[in-house]
Amino acid sequence: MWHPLLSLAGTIGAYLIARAVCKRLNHWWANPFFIGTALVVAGLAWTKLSYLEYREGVQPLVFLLGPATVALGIPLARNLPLLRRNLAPVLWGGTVGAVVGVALVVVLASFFGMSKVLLLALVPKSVTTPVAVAISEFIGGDGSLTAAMVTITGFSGVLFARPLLDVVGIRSPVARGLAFGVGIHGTGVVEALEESELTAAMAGLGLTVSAIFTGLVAPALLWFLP
Amino acid sequence: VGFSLLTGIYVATDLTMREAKIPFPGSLLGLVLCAVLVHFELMPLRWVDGAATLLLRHMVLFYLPLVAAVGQFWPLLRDSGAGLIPTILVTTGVVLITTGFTAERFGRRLEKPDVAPTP
Repeated sequence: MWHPLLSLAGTIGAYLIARAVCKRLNHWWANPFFIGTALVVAGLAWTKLSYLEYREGVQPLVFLLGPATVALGIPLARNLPLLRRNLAPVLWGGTVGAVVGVALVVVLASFFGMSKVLLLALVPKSVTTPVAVAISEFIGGDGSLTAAMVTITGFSGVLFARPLLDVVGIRSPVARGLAFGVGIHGTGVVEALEESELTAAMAGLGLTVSAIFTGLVAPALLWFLP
Repeated sequence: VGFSLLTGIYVATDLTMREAKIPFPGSLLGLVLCAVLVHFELMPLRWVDGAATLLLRHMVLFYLPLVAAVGQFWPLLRDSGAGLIPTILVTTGVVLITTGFTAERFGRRLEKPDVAPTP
């Protein structure tokens, strides 16, 4: 016997355990997201529950991604003075980053002969998860595949984002922060915090700006793709 | 109160965009609307701050159910894996560099006093 509420309780439980474990371990790879996902996937295998049955119970959690996205407006409002002071770099950097990211994904995915569902999941991969899911589903992609791509992107960023910017000689905190936010979303904010407050605030702005610009650019793809 | 306001904004913008068939995700419009409301103090920050902090802190919980479905895509990922990782690494790297360069180019004049001179 299975009740949808058990899925809900199980997911919340997995999340709480993952958080507790990560707090104790305090390693870069000990991320609530990885451990939580592993627990849920293991739980599904153990109970032999199909994903669709599981999904029925956890729908309320997924719905909350909507209000959570809206809530991102509050840090944006807080950072408005910073945005005003750096309007040109934020707007141009955000636009270039979003356009280049989307275009390059399409080029490379076609080059490697990827299926359309994977391509659509990759398009918003530099955007923070809730927004990426919204954008992907909007253009006909799959939300869960997208969330996975967003996570891989974030993790890859932890490995090479800071050394890469060092190597190419991007040094100003404004530019570095923005690049982190636009390129690797939430992980970028965490990376930026290691450098300075200004870098982190710019990363937060970059995250929001890239979400908005990618949201504007991505639907245009629908006219180009078969 | 804060939670219902945020949910209200989300539902309202989402429905509007769907009905109007505007090619832009509703929750993103909600994000902008929320920033505008808070900035012009049409919606006092203290009403929504608590709920917003809670939602943002536990965001991972809301997309755990989505990522759990990744097991279903395993065959797809395995077959495209060879191209997938290079695609992600290359695009992420290029986005980081182009964004950084553009921002540095446009920001140099304004932020110069704040930036430590490079040796």
